Amino acid sequence: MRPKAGPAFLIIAIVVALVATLSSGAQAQTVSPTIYSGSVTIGGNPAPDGLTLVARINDYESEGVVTKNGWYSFLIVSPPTIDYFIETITFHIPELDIQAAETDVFRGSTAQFEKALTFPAVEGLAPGPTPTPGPAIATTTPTPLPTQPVAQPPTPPVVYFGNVTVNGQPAPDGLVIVARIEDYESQPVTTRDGAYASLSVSPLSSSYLFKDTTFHIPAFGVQAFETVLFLGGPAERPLDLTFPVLPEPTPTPEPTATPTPEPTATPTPVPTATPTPAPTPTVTPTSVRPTPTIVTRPPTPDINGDGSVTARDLALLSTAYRSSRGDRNYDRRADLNSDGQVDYRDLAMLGAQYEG
Amino acid sequence: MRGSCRMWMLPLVVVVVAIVAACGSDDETSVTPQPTSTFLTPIPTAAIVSTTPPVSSQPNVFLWPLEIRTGSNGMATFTVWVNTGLFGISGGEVTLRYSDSGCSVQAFASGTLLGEDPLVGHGTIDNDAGVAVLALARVGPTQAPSASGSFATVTLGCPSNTAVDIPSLGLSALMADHEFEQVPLVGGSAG
Repeated sequence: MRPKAGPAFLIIAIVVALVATLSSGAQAQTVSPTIYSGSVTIGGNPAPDGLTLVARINDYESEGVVTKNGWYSFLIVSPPTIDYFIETITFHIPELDIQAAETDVFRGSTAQFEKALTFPAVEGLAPGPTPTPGPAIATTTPTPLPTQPVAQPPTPPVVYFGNVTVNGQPAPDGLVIVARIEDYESQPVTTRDGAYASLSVSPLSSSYLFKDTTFHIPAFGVQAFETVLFLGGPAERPLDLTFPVLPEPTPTPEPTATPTPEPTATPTPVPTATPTPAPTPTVTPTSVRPTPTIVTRPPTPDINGDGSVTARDLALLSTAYRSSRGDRNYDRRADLNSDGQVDYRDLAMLGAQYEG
Repeated sequence: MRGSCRMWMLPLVVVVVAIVAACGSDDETSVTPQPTSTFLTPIPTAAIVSTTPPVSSQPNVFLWPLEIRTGSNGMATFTVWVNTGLFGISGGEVTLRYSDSGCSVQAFASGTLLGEDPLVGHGTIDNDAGVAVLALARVGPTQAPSASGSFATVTLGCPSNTAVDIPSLGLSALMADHEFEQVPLVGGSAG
């Protein structure tokens, strides 16, 4: 009996070992996500907003992303195992039960692709707006302008953010900035750390469409060099503002002019005989500090400001990755260390506080 | 009587020989890897040499193993290895240029250097230009020094059964330390 049982056990043991080897190998091989973005058309027309788009590989289905402005962004294809390797990726809009003409092959590699998706026509489906990539570009349909701006809903806002320089230097904290389109003036925002944020331009009428948006510091009566054609929103736009030198404000003869002595940072006595005159304090509006103060703030990787550091922040950083100040896709919010470029160090800062 | 005894022992001898043969073949496979069936290796690639990369007290990045040979299907897998020195590595970016190698990158996946599931901030494979880029970050804080390891695993598709010319693969790397400052890498891959 034993001589016969021995080989049987051996064969079983070998098979078990092989299966174990195979399964451990499959687990060790990581599957990296592939990320897609691009335009979406249905029946030749831009897809309307709000449609959920998914990718499928056999029985795997990705998380859905929602179309906006005829575009989809950050569709992450990340199946759980390497079984999906070299399989075909298809793209679907489940609620309409349609599949895109385009497919791809899943290679399990970390990559980001722009891929336009074309779906067959669906009867009764209204076309969406002209495709525009991402949230950084405003879209609008060039409707004929009414002569009287009356009784119209406000145009969706365009929200600006970016750096502010005054006379070539980072703007001091506390400068009040507004945007204007003819007689419209936005709600003011205040500079901080040489930048401004959330400057929302939302005039009450579409008559302001295709007019210049200008940017001002009302306290000093100066205007930024930059002007932007108002194309309506909703949109979020990075825009660095440069102002000329601020004029000296007229000193108000207030008796309570701050006679406080200069807070000297270095109290060590200087033994030199030549007394250097102390810098005269320039009288400035209370809301403005005369010298630009560069505050080294702790990194805040909550790029979209929603209170947590998640994949949404990672998506914003990824979109701006490898950009430098002045580039079209540069996003100051993603430049976490404020060195003028979005790179691996900003990514590392985000990762350190990533919440998933 | 003797003849019947011999006849009785014959099957036993055959069984013993079979067992010895089975054990012998098993030992043989553990010494030299035998070509396995495609079932056992669904994505067959050339085996990575099991010896460990050279350890350095200086932070450096290099391709490992030193000799990369494709398998019968033309696939070769190797790692981008990072010796951390005394630094804690919180993230990094690696660029691989391979336009002169005659190969294409089939996969560029994260390794173990930055933990089990690092963030992928950027990843592109451009086989037309022969450039692949991968930027990763550790999730959570980084202790210094952190352990050396593979930043990424690269799968190349090349002509079958050839040795990949390592110098034809250009590697450049940027690493961030635990305070998100650039690590001064030593060697040709820096920057």
